[in-house]
Parts: sequence; C-alpha cells; structure tokens
Amino acid sequence: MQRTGENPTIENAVSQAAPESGTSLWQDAWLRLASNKLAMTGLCILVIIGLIAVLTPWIAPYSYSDQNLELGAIPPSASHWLGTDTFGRDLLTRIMYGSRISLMVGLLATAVALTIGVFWGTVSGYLGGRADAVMMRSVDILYALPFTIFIILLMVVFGRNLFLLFLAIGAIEWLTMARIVRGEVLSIRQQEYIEAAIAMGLSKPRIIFRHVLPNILGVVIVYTTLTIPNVILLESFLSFLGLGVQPPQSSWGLLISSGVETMEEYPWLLFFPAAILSATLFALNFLGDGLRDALDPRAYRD
Amino acid sequence: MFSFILKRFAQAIPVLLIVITGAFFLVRLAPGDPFSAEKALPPEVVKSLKQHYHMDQPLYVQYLKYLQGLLRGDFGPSFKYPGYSVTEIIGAGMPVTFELGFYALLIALVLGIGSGVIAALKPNTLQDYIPMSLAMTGICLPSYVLGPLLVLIFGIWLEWVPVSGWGYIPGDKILPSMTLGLVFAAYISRLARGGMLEILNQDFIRTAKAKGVSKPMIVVRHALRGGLQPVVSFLGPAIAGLLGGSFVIETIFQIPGLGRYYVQAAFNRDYTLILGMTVFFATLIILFNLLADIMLVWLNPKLHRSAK
Amino acid sequence: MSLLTVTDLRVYFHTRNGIIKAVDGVDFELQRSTTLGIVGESGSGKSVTCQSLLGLLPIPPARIESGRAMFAGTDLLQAGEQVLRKIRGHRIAMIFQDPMTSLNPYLTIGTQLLEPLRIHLHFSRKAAMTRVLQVMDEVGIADPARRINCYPHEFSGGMRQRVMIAMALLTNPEILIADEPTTALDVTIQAQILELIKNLQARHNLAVIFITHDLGVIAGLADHILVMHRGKVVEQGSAETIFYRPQADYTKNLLNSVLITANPRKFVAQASGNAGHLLSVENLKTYYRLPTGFFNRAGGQIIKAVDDVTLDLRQGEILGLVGESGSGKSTTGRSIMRLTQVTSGVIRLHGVDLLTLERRKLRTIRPEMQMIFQNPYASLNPRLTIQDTLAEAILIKGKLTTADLQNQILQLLQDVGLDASHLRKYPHEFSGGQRQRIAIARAIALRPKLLIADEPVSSLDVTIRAQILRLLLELNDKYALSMLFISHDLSVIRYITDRTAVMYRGKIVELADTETLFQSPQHPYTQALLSAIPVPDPVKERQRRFMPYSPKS
Repeated sequence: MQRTGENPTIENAVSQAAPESGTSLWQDAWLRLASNKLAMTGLCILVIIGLIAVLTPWIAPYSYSDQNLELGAIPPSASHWLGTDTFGRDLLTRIMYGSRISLMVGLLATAVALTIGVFWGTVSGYLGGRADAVMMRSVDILYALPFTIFIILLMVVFGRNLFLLFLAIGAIEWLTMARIVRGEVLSIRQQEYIEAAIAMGLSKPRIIFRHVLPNILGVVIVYTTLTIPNVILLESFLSFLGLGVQPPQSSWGLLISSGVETMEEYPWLLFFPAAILSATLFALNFLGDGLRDALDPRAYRD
Repeated sequence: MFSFILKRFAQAIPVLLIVITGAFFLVRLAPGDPFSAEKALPPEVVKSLKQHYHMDQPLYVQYLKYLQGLLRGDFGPSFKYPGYSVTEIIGAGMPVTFELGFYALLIALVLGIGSGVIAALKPNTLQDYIPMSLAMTGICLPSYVLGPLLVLIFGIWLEWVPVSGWGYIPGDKILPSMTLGLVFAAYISRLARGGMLEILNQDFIRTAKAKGVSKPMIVVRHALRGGLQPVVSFLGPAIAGLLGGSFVIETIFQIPGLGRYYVQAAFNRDYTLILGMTVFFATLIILFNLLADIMLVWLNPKLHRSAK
Repeated sequence: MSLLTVTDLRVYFHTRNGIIKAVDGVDFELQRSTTLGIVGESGSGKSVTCQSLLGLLPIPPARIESGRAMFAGTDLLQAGEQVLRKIRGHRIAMIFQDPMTSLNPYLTIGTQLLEPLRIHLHFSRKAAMTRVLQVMDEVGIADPARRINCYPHEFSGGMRQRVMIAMALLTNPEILIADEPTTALDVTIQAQILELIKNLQARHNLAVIFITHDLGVIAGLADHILVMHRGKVVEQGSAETIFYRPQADYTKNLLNSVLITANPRKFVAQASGNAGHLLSVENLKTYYRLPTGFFNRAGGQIIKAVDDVTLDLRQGEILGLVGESGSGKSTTGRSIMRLTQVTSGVIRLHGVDLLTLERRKLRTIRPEMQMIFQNPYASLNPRLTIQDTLAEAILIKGKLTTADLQNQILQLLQDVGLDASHLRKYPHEFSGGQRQRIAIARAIALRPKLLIADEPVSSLDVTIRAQILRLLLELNDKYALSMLFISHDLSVIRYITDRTAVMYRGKIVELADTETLFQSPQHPYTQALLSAIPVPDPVKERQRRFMPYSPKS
C-alpha cells in the first residue's frame, strides 16, 4: 500500500494540473432561471416593491395619517400622484405604508410556516416508521379542519392583533409545506448516497444537515415563493372583511375594501391598490413557476 | 372498497369532535358575554337569562349539554335574533349558499378542466399560453377585486346583468356565481394542465399511440382518469375555499346566504350563531373532503383492495 | 420482395444545446417470416430508428431529415397521421421494454386488449372478446376469462409482457417490433418470453425486428443482424457472419467485451481454519411485515425476504451471491451492512457479532465494511464536489492536515483510475462508469476489510462493465479487500467470484466453488438458471434448451 508523500508523481500532478472547476447544480439552475423572461420580470418587480416598502418612511410624500378634509377625494394630480381618499389622505402614501404591512405579514407568516413545515416534514420523512405515521396523521387531521373559519373565530375572540394574525396564517400554511417536504425527504432517503453516508458511520444530524437538507432546498424555495402570495391573499381577505388590520394603519386589503365601497364615484381608490396587489401576486407566482422549472430535478436526473 | 369507506367515516368523527370542542371553548374564551354589550339590564334579569341559557353552570357541563343538543339537531337559540334558533337561521340561509356554491363549482370544473386539458394538448404554444395566462390572472385577482370589477363592467357600464340580490331579477345569479367560480376555475385549470401533461408523457400513452388509438380517444379514455387526479385532490380544499369565498361574494352582492350571516354574527358576537355555523361549515368541509378522498381511491385501481 | 425497406434514414434532435444526430444514415431490409436483430449500446439509435417508422417520435425536438421506409407500397416516413394510424397496432405492432409502465394502470387489461380489434377490425364486442381470450391462451396467460378484468399491477412482470405480446398479435400483424422486451425481466422469465416469441413467429409467419443490447439474446433469435453505434450501422449480416466473422472493429470490441466465461481467478485461501474467516453469517432472517391500519400498525402479511441464510467469507475472497428479483440477495447484503432491520441471526465480522452491538459501537465499526450500489446516478450526493465527497469519507477516520488529506484524495483517484483534474467537478458532469469509480473510491477511502458490491455493473454499458470489474479485481489484489458480490448476471459472477451462493426466495439453494457450480450444478434451480442464460454464439444458442424450475412446495 502506498504511503502518502512517497509518490513524487502525485506531487508533480498537484503542482501541474490545476483542477478545473465544475458547475454546481445551483449555478445551472440560476442560468436556467435567468433565461426565463417572465420569472426575471417578476423578480425585478418584487425587488422594486420591496425596496419601496423598506424605504417608505423616508420617501413617502406624506404621512399616512395626514388628512386634508377640505380636499376630499381627488383623482390623480401633480401633488397627489395617485389621488386622495375621502379624508384627503394621499393614496400613494397609504399604498406604500400598506405594502409594508402586507409584505411583512406575508414574509413573517411564511417564515413561521417554513420553519415548522420543514422541521416537521424532515423529521417525519427521515425517521419513517411509526413516528412518521403519527406525525403525518396529525397533519391529515389538521388539514381537514376548516381553518379559514377558525381564523375568523380567532380574530373575533382575540381582537385584531397583528402578531396573532401572522401566527394564525402561518399555522395553516405549514401543513402543506410539511407534506411537501416529507415527500421530498422520503424520496431522498431512498437514494443510495444516503445509505452510503449511513454506511460510513456518519451521525444522523450530520446526514440530515449535510446530505438531506441541501437536496430538499430546491423544493423548499419553490414552495416558499408560492406560499407568500397565498398568505398575502389571506391577509387581504381578512382585512377586507374587517377582521384584519385596523385603520388608521393600512394594508392592501383594507384599501381595497374601502375602495369597493366608493367604486363608482372614485374608481381610482379601488384601481390602484388592486393593481399593486395583483402585480405583486403575479410577480411572486411567475417567479415561483420559474424557480420550479429551473430547479426541476428531472432536468438533471439523467 | 366498502370497508375503506367505513374506515374513513370512522376517522372523520374524531376530527369533527375536535373541531366542535375547539370552537366551543374558543368562543367561550372571548372576553365578556352576550349580555354585556346590551344596554344595562337589571342584574336579576341578567341572572335569570343566564340561568335559562345554562350559563351559570361550569363550562364542561355547558359543553356536554351543547353536544346533547347537537345530537338532536339543535344548535341553540340565537342571542341576537331573539325568537329565532340557530337551526332556523341556518335553514334559511343554506339553500341560497348551496345554490351559489353549486353553480360556482360547476363553472369552475367545466372551465377549469376544459381549459387545462386543451392547454396540455399543445404545450408551449398559444393554445397553452392563453388559457394559462388567464388562469394566472384569476389566481392573482382576489374575488373581492374581480367581483366589483365585473359589476362595474357588466352591471353598470354595459348593463347586461343585475348587480345584486338573488332570485329577484332573472339573471342576478350570474355575476356572483361567475365571480366565485372563475377564481377556482383558474386553480383547477393549472392543476388539470399539470396532471394531463404528466400523464401524456408516460410510456403507456406511447403504447396506446402505437396501437393506433386516435388522439381524442387517447385523451379521453387513457389519459383523463390519471390526469385529473390533482384536480380531485384539490376538491377538498376547493370546497373549503368556496365556502370562505362565499362570505365575500354574499357581502358584495347582497345575497342573503349563510356567509353574510356568519360575518355579521362575528361582528355581533352572537356566540351560538357563530358556534353553530362553524360546526355546520366544518361538518360540510369534512364531509366533502371525505367524498374527495373516496373518489381518489375509486379513480386509482392500484389503491383498490382487489382479489388476486 | 422485402416486406420493409429502409433507405438512408436520418433522424436528428434539435435541442437547445445543438443538434443530436440520433440516427445518421441507416439502411436495411426486412423479409417476411424472418427476424432482424438490431444490437447496440445505449445511445446507438436503435430505438429511435424503429420509433420513427411508426411516427412515435416527439416531433418538435425530433425531425426526420431524410430517408424512406417502404412498407406495402407506402413510404412510412412521408405518410400522414391518418395513414399511419391505420398501420399502427394493425399491420405493424410494437412492444416496449418496461411492461410495468407500458400498460395503462387505470384500465383493466381487458379494455386495453379489446382496443386494437375494435378500432382496426371493427369487431363487435362479443367477437372481440372471443378472440382476445383465444390469444391470451396462446401466449400462456392462465385463466384468461377471469384475468381479463384485472388491472396491470395485479400481474407479474413476465405476465405483463405476455399481455403486451397478446395485444400486439390480436390483429395478425405482418411485422412485430420488439424494443428490448426482455431487458427488464429476470433471466428465467426472459427465457420463457424468448421461447414464446420464437414459437409465435413460426406459427404466424411473423417478421420480427428485435432490438436489444444483449448479444446472447440476439444470437438465438436473429437471422440477420444490424450492429449500430452512435446512429450509424457499423456492420450488418447474417447471424453467423456477425458472430464468427466480424469485420468492423466496433463489432469485434463488442464481442470481446462480453465476458469470457471461464474464470481467470485463482484464489488461494490466506489461512486455514476459522482464523481466516472475515465474515460469518449464521441463520440470518430478515422478515418484513406489511403495514395496515390507521396509524400503520404492523399487522399485515409477512414477507420473508431473507429466510435463514448461512454463509462465510474468507480473507481476500470474492464470494458471489446470485439470484433473480425477489430472491433476497440485495436484502442479504443490506442486512449484513445493517442498513435494514434484521429479524434474527448472527453476523460476525472479525468475530464481533454486529447484531448485538449497540448503535454507537456499531458506528465505530462501520468503516470496516463498505458498500457500492447499482445505480451510479444516485450513489453520490449531487450537491457535493468529488473533493468534498472523498474528503468526508477520509476524515471519518480522524483529522488530517490539509496536505495529507489532499495526498490521500489524489491517491484514491489514482487507485480507481480517475484524473486529478476532476476534483472540483460535480457528479452530474460525469458518465455512469466514472461515477461508479468515484463511488468505489469513496468506499475504499475508509480502508474497509469487506466490500459489499450490490449489482455494481448492472446499469453500465457492456464495454464499461469489464473495466469496472477489472478495477475491482485489482483492488481486491492490492488491498486484500474481501468482497461479497451480488448480481443477477451469471456471466459477471462467473468472471469475478471464487465461490458462489445461489439464492431463491430468501434461501440459499446451493453454495460451491464458482467453476464447480457452473460446470456441474446440483440444485434444480441452479440448473434452470444456468440453462436460461442466452449464449452469444448462434450455433450453441440454438441448441440450448431451457429447463424451467418449479418448486414442489
């Protein structure tokens, strides 16, 4: 058996042949995504909206509670680019502040769903057997519960607490994420490289973190991107019914619901908030679809 | 097959029980009670009211009494509509909501499956892009945006259809049903396309083609059954969504259905009504989930218990 | 007058990455009542050639650039869909490789069988049913009247292929195209299906185009052979010409890669007695219970995957474990590796009973026994570079300086015959054979005493197989690495192993020195197995008689 350091040809080889770098699957996927025009457009829109939301306190033309009752509701004009509502509040400002709330709820609730879902799904899928059966049965039972109704109930009982709102919405969405993650983990667990890792004597946590998680990341990213729009929709639905965010704070749902009431006389009050909500949802969905195509394992499982 | 159905029914009961229990205790957790918001009532009256409604008993007794009532089909009296029991109110609103939901589901299935299958037949061509873009629009436009939009265009500007009510003017059922149905048509369309595409890429479709089966026959006889699986899986959540969506639609179009009562009850803190309707909706959803599950098994022969 | 004449067929695939010339200038003729064999490795274009005849190719990426295929006065390549549809399944029928996926799982086989008769011959339902039952009987499906209402998943692989064949024959076609129909089947089932096809051809004057990569199969069936490589016909001629007087280099290479059947190894036992035993397995049982119930409580029927297996492996020896699907050979390997729960028994490695070890101790012993798997595509973590994969394995034995680590990695690469320039690449950038080498490198990185190889070459092309097997022999020699070699392929087993155990339904039915086993098999199942292997020699192959095995129990 050769001892290390005794073979001069290896040393020569090291100094002469610089190993070529390979392209990882992530790089492949990114290239594929970049060539998908719809997805990239979606990404740009999201970045812009995100930036505006973050920078709102500094760039908003007015304060969101600035009322100008004499003005009343006016259509888009030079001083108020998107017009004002019946209290004279600048619509652009209200939409900008509303985006902060809507996006924040979207991201936070999704984060909750993501954390619980990935944890539940990974543990359940990896352990298998009885643990898996119990964990998944619980998910099935919870799935059957009419959650929209429960949320309404919760909102009624506990009042309109923003924090509770994220928790509640996150508590619905984690179920789908758990199911999807479990499915992926189950199929990965059967792959031979996991068996090889077990055969080498690696510990369970190490196998999960180094071999399982990186390989489910693709699916997780796709579904996270597709969960965010669902969450935003749900929040705006609740706000529309009057059960979500309360005035004077604004969210897109609230703006739309007040816009509906005055739809005929002041159509811009409905149009602009609805347009931006839809644009965000479109962007998220296109990006999610693009990610799903780019990360499609079938493309590289030969 | 029969034993499977029985088993699923049995599994549904604990779920229902959890829902009822959860809802009951949740509602009771709310601060205050139905009488606190009233104009000040003399304490003796409040006391006797509470006694009448068993509210002076410990909570678990109330819970058991409620369950007993349920078994008799009695959801209790409404607190805010004196003289009416919850059962009566549900009975009044149910036919309306059911009809709305039925039409919406019909529209969703026909439009959704139709467009999805058509798109799957020629992927990545106009035949695919157009329905799918429309579908994407449907997903991204919430029903409470779409509704008013349709009202504006078809009701007010074009004056083709009436804009509110249900059953009073002929044609007033069109807009609400369309609004509710179109959103789900969008989801179903995407699911149908995805499912059909996957099936059409399978080897057995190639075998059918090699046997000389015509394209339409391949789609209908060979592909449809497997391709629609994602749609059937979606039926459970779809019904739940239809119910939730009906709240909004009924509010916008002034339809006297269950949804509108539910939203109002939520604002009025009419506990028995909220509780009763929650239980009712939950039962419906659980039932439909069950039916959807059964249909999934029926569609897929591999899941049948068959004698070898 | 030829039944089918193909001239200058060219089929190119226009993909985003460029043009792939799948079929690049193919000519052949098919005569009535003869069998044309098309043989080649994967990517040779043999399947695409035949699929283009029936218009079964996905037309956007694929395009028929040129060529004619004359059948009964019509050019199949120019014919419109209407014309083709009348020919498909009627005058030219095709059967495919994987009977599991080629039948519609949602329809009964009855529905699928009735179709060709109703569509092409416009039979009434009753008349069609009669004919279907008749043909089902002819292809050997027992109890056709009852089975006709069953679904595909209720049949075994061999039965499903019989259904496919029945489906093809219903309309009395003139040509049957069989695309690797037995590749996915066990060798004894394969023997039955091949005999069936031969009989049917004789009885119905069928012309058959038989596509395969297996030279043994083609030797017995084909009258005329086409050898394809990278889209071109490298050579064609009668079976005798191709096998006994090959002209082209590629053909000669192909014939040489088919393993020499005699065993080149001469194994000398290292030490006598038990001291030489590296691995000793006694009464190993691995039973599985099918789950039932709401919470998947165990309670269903028991599957005895490994049913009382006893074997031993000496230092430096290569022991073969051979059997068909369901024999339990893979499960035995995985049970020894403790990758699956074992029901009972004793597994001694270096005298230590692996089954009584608690988990932590087991993990420290694991490096002593490593495994390589059948599927090279799933054997490596797609997110790690080769460098990372090998480093992870090496570092299990303890920390090293960067320089030492790098040296060991390079040494490993050299051991398995890979170039150092590949270090930073990812698995998907390598071919199947290269990936298998990397998997082997990872396995030996831990300096194991025992290597269990579970069908390591079954997914590889014939020319690559020999290379990998030779690599394994080198490693066995260089590092005194004992091996348990699991395979269903008897020629591979004969080439590489010293002793062989034959498994059938969870039990070992025979265990002997490899050459002895092959030359004078004792157990009737071993005899059946050996008699079922197609030999790549037309004269011998035509004389071979398959002796099926039926257990008395």
